[in-house]
Amino acid sequence: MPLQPSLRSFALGLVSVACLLGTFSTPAQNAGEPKKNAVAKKETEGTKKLWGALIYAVDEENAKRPGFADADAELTTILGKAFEKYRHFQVLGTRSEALFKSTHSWVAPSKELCVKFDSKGLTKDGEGVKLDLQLWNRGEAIVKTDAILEPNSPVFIEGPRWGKGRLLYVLKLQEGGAEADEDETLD
Amino acid sequence: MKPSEEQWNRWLDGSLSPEEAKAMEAAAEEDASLTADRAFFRQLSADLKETIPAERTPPFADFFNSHLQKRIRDLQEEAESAAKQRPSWWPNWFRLSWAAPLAAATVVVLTLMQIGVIGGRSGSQIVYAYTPDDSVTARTEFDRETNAMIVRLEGMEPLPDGFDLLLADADDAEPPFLVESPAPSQETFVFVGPQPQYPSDRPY
Repeated sequence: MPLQPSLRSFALGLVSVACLLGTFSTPAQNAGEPKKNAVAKKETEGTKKLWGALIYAVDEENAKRPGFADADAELTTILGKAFEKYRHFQVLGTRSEALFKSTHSWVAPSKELCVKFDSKGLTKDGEGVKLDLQLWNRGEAIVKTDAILEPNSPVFIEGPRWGKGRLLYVLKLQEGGAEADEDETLD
Repeated sequence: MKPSEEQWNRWLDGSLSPEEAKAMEAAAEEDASLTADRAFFRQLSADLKETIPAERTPPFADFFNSHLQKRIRDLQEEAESAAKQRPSWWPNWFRLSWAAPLAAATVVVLTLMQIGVIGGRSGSQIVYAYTPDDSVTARTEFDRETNAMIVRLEGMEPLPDGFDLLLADADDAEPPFLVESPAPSQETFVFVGPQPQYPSDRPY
């Protein structure tokens, strides 16, 4: 059955615009990539770090675990929006690890529930980091991801339930590398 | 009984049966008013027969036939045209020549903005997520309000309330459970407490 003229025009327009965008965007991005990446790698290798916090989220005040501090107000607000079921967030531990390409490392405030990551280098703009990010639970990988972490944009992982609450991971890209403050909180 | 108008007509046309005609004649002679009616209808019938011929050939028969056929064709075309102009799901403005390419461009741009290729979304991304355990599923979503990428794992077994997470000591400069092939001159980190059994690629 022949297409209606307007439908045919729509399809042709769709293909044309896609080709046009592909033609203009790809070479321009690729052109400066090797040099920019080489410079960026030299300047930022090991100067960024992955900050991670293991969070215990509960709804009721009396379900909180003794001996652990509450997350600061800003982190509590953000987590409260992302995980609406919970109102209280305790920080069980934080860790940060410098990002070096071609080496894997761990953000492991807990030995049982921790995050393994492999840095795959910077993004094209030199701001973000490409990571092979995995969550491990009791010696087994639960989820493996290809992730791109950008500054000021955390990754939240909703982990297993624990007691009356749930365990969460907060991962964030930070500047500063190995010399940065390990206990630095979420920006 | 006074005959009906229909019977009068049939009588005047001569289409009554002999018995009916005889009955009509008898009724007309008995009733004086019927006699007057009979005279009126007879005169009327005679006048009509004189004025209007029994058969008449229409003038310009060919012209009449062609005109009739043209009228039939016109009616058919009007019906087809009305069917084409019925409202459809395709918007009328979309029939305009410039509307289809513009709509296509809008779809492409919105799609690229949605997936972050254009439009300057600077948030973190989970490009791909895989769960080795089939009973666990990973659902990813980007929350614009918090500018955060969220990975929701569903199907994981809950950890018992008393489960020991083996939290690392916050005062440790390095995680004590990370064994990175210590050189002789470097400090060797050892576990304190029970050491879990992990696969060989686990660094502790």
